[in-house]
Amino acid sequence: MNQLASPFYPGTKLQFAWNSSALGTFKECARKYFYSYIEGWTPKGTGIHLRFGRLFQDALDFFDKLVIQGEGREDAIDLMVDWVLQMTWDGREPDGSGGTPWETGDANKNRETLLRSVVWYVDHYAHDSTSTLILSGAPALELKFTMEFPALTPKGEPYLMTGHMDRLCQFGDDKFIMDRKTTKTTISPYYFQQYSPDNQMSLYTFAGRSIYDVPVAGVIIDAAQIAVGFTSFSRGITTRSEGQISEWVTDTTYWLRLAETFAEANYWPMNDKSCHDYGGCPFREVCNKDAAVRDSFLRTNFVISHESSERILNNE
Amino acid sequence: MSSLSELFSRDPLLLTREDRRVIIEKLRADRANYMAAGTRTGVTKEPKPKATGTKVTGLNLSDLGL
Repeated sequence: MNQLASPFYPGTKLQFAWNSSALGTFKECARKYFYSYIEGWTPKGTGIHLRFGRLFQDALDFFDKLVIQGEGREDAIDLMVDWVLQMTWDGREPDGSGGTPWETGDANKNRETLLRSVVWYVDHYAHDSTSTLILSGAPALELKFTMEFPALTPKGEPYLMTGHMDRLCQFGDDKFIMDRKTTKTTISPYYFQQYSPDNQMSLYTFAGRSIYDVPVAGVIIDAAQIAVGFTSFSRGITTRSEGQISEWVTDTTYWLRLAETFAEANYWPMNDKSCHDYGGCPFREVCNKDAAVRDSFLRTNFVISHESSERILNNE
Repeated sequence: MSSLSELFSRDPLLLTREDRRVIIEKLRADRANYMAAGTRTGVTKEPKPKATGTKVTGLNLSDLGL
């Protein structure tokens, strides 16, 4: 996968490599998918949330790996803190000098709350009931995957699904994928309801069973509420039966065929029933304008980064 | 002893293990205060254990330690 330059066939707008985010965005609204993945627009100022979430996951993956490799717990915490401090120091010169602390301008998600969150997390789960699986002699951590999906593109090749799983673990008599999430909002039972049915959790379960030949029951979701003055943690479980996974594969195939249709027509329609969902679509103010002026509005309020497509290539 | 804000503003390559220990202990003290505040007011700062997502047959959610 690393040698591919794009998740799209060259010279086309037909995507052959997908991740759960791309698939989810396409399901929400084809126009939103077009702006995000085909044209590569990203709303200004959203980078800090992605970076914060990624660092939170990576810091805890780093800690898990250290402990499994035999590092003492307190030593592992010290190394994790050092890692976070270094990863949130920006603008260092090539000779290693200079730089400044990462400034987000966000009271909830910043360098200090990130450090607080990972230290509080490892203390909160110090006596965790889950244990990391060992696969082929290595701990099942930071599992990046690229797998063939059982549906062919118009070019006769299997579609590819990519992603990244934090951890495969044992909990009780069952095996699960673990996924860590951060949010600013209070974590209520409603928070976990969003993961069933859910595109990402179904894909992860499917991938876990297919790639690693592990009878994964589903996904354990570790959610962290990142507030200004505290971080709180909740854990939920979502499972998938074989029948549910089979149905998800069938449904996903239909969605991929729809994506082919739009790519062939070079037109991606709006789903104007999704504009106010998920906290409001970032492209809502674009779509409510006449097509003649949308381009200038996009250039004012968004940047072209193709970050969404790059995340597919980086198995994120 | 350096203040926490001074430690955070310093190049991490110049921080010692003792500096990081100060940071970790401060963060842990903050957590202890947060947990104690929840106990005093009777407010559960962290959500009470309830069945979340799809219920899993054969698992006791209380084992999750929520």
